[in-house]
Amino acid sequence: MLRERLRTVGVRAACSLASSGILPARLFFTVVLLFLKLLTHTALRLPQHRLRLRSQQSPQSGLGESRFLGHLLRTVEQACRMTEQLYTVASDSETTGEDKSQMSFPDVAIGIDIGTSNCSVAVWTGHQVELLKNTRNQKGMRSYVMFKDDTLSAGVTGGATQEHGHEERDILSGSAIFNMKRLIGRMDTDEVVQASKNLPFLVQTLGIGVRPFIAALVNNMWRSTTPEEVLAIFLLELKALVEMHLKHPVRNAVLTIPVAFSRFQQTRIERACAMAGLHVLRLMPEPTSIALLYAQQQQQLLHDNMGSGIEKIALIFNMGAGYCDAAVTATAGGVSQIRALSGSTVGGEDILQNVMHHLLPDFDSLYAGQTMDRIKSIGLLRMATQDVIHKLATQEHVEINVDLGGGHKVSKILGRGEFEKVNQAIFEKCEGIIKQCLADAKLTPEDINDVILVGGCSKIPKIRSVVLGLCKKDDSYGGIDPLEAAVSGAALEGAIASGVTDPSGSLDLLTIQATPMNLGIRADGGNFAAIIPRNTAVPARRDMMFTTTHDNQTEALIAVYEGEGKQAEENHLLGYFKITDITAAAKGTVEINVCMDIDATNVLRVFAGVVKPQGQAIPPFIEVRMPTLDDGHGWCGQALAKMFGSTLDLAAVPKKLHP
Amino acid sequence: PAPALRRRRRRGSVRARAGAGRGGGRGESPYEVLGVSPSAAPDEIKRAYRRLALKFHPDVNKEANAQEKFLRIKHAYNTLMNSESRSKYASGNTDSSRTYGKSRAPSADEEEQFYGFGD
Repeated sequence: MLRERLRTVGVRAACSLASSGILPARLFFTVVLLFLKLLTHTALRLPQHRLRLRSQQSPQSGLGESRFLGHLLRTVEQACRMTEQLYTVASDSETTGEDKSQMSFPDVAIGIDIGTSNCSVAVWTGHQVELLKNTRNQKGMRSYVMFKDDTLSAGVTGGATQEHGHEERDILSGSAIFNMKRLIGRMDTDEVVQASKNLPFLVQTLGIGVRPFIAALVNNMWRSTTPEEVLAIFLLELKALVEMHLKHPVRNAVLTIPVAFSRFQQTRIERACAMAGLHVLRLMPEPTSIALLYAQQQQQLLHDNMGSGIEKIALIFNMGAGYCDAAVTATAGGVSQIRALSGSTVGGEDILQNVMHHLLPDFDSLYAGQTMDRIKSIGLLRMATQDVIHKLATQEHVEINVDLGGGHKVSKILGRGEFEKVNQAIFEKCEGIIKQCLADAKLTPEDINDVILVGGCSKIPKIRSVVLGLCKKDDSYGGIDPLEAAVSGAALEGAIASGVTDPSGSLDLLTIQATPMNLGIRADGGNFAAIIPRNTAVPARRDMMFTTTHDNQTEALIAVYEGEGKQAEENHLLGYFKITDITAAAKGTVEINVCMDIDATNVLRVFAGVVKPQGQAIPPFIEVRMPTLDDGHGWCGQALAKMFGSTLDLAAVPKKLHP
Repeated sequence: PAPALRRRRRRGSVRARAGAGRGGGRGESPYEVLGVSPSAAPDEIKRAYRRLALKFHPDVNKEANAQEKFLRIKHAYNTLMNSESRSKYASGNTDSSRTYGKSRAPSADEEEQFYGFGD
C-alpha cells in the first residue's frame, strides 16, 4: 500500500514539474526512475542511495535543477515518513473520531495566505477552521527560503536556524530570498523591483522590461534563482507540514492574493503552486476572504439571536508588508457581496525603507556596491528599523542605537510624529484607496456599519486613525484576528468550493466576488475600451460591438488589456489575436462582436467574431483563454504597434440609446 | 455526526423559477426569475437574490449549468436594483431581449447580456 502510494505521489510530482516547465524532459524520466528505484530499497538503505543518485545527477544537470531535485527528494523522504505514519494511524486509531473525520476529507482544499513577510496555512477540520502550527509552534511563519550549500530550507520549518532569535539575522545574511510576493511576475522596469535592490540578496536589473536577475549568497557566490522557484520550495515545505498534520495527501488549495495583482502575476502564483504539486482551486483577493469570514460571524450572531439579519456594510482594510487593499462588502444571510475593491503596491516594506533612509540619509551613496560589508550593515539597520517601527505602535518615542560597522553609527530618538511625517505619502495612498473604494461602491462613511482592520500594518496608530477617520468611526470591528483572518477565510472558501456542507449550516456561505480591474481591448487608436468594468460581480459576461477603421479591412487585431488607464498602453497587456477573413466593405459597416467571460474560478475567456455582414462563408468565432502572454508585456505592445501600425485597428461602436 | 462531502448541493423549489435553459430565460421577467412580486421592495429583492445565490452560485452549485443560471439571476437582480431599468421594465417594455441589448457605455450596475456562445 505504501509503495503504491509513493509511486503515485512520485510520478505525479514529476509530471507536474515537467508540465510546469521546470523539469526538462530528460530529467523527467530520471525522476520517475528514481522513484521506482527508491521503492525497491528498504527504508534503511534509502538515504545512501539518495546521495549516490544525487551525485550522479549533478554533473549533467544545471545547478538549479539539481538543487530542486535535492529538495524534491527530501520532501519525498518526508512524504515517505508521513505515509508510514498514515499506515499506522489508520490501523491504530479507530477510536479517535477527529482523525476519522479528517480522513474523510481528502479533497478539501486547504487555505494558504502567502504574505510578503509571513505565511500561514489553515484547514477545515469538519467542524471549524484550524490554523496549523509548524514544529516551532508558530502559526505565522516567516516567508523566506534559505540557500545553504546543497540544502534549501524554507521558513516553514525555520530553516535558517533553530534559535528563533537568530532567524532574522540569518534571513538578512544574503543567503535567504524573501519578499517573493513583491517580486513575482514583475519586470525589471517595475519600481517595486527597483526598490528591492536595497535587499540583502542580489536583485539585478537591466531596465529593459525583462525579468530581474535574483540570486542568493552561497559560499561567497551568487547563485541564481527565480521568485517562482523560491515560492515553490516554500510551498513544498508548507504542503509537507499540512500532510503531516492531516495524515493524508493534499492536492487543492485556495490562496489569497493582493487586489493589485495582475492576471499575469496570478499565473506566476499558479505556476509556483504547480511546481509544488498543488492545484489552485481559487485565488482570492485578500479582503474578500476576510469578507467571507465576516459573513460567517454575522450568521453565527443571527443563530445565537444576537444579530438582526439586516444587511450590514463593512469596509475591510488590509495592509501587510507588501500590499494594501480595501473592499466594501454588503453582508446578509451568509452572503457577502463585494461592492468594490481597490488596492495598491504599498505596504510595510515601503514604510521600512522610508525610515531606513530617514535614519541614514546617505544610505544609498554609502552602500552602493553589493559587498559583504554592505549586506551586513544593511541587515543591522533593517533589524533596528523594524524594531523601532514595532515599538512606535505603542510608544511615543523610541531610542535607536546601532553600530553599522565601518565607522557608521545611527544614534537617534525617533518620535511618532516624525515617523508619521516621513511616511506621509504612504498614508495618503491608503486614504486614496479607501476613498476610491467608497466612491466605487457609491456609499458614504455613514453607510458603513463595521470597519475591519487587518494585516500587520493595521497595528500602526496612524493607519488606524486614517481608516477610522475616513469612515467616521471610533473603533474597528473586534471579532477578527488581524493576522489570521485572511487564511481563515481562504480555508472556509476551500471547504465551500470543494463541495463540503455542514449540517449545522456553518458553511452556507458565499462571497460574490467582483473584478478588481477594468478588462477591455485596444480601440479607437491607442484608447482602452473597457468591456467588463471593474467591480462587476463575478461570474460575468459582457460584450461590445466594434467596427473596422479602414475601407476593405479584412483583418483586425484584438489586443486584450487589464487596468485603470484610459490609454491601452498604460494597462497590462494580457494577450492578442487576429480576426481574419472579414468581408471587404466600407469602413464602419462591419460589426465585430467582442465578448468577455469570467467564470466563478476567475478564468477569463475572450470571444470575438464578425456578426455583420453575414456572408456565405463566415469564419467561426474565436475563443481565447487569457492571459496568453508569458513575459515582457511592454515589449509585445510596442512590437505590435511597430509591425502593424493602425492597419488592424478597430473602433468601438457606441451603443444605440434608448428611445 | 460527521458532515458529508457532497458534490452537489441541495436543490430547493426555487430551481424552477431560475429557469432550466437559456431559451426559457429570455421570456421570463426579472420578477419571475427572482420569485418576487412586481411591487417588491428593494430589501425583498436583495433577500431573494441572496437566497438564490446560495443555491445557484457556481461556487456552491457544482452542476454544469450553474453559471448560466446564476448569470440570469444576477441579471434580473441588477435590472430590478437599478431604478432606471426597473422603471423602464415596469412601463410595459416586455421585449426583454431588446431592453437588455440597448444600453449606453457599460457601468458596473448594468446587466449582463446573453449570447449563444460561451458555455
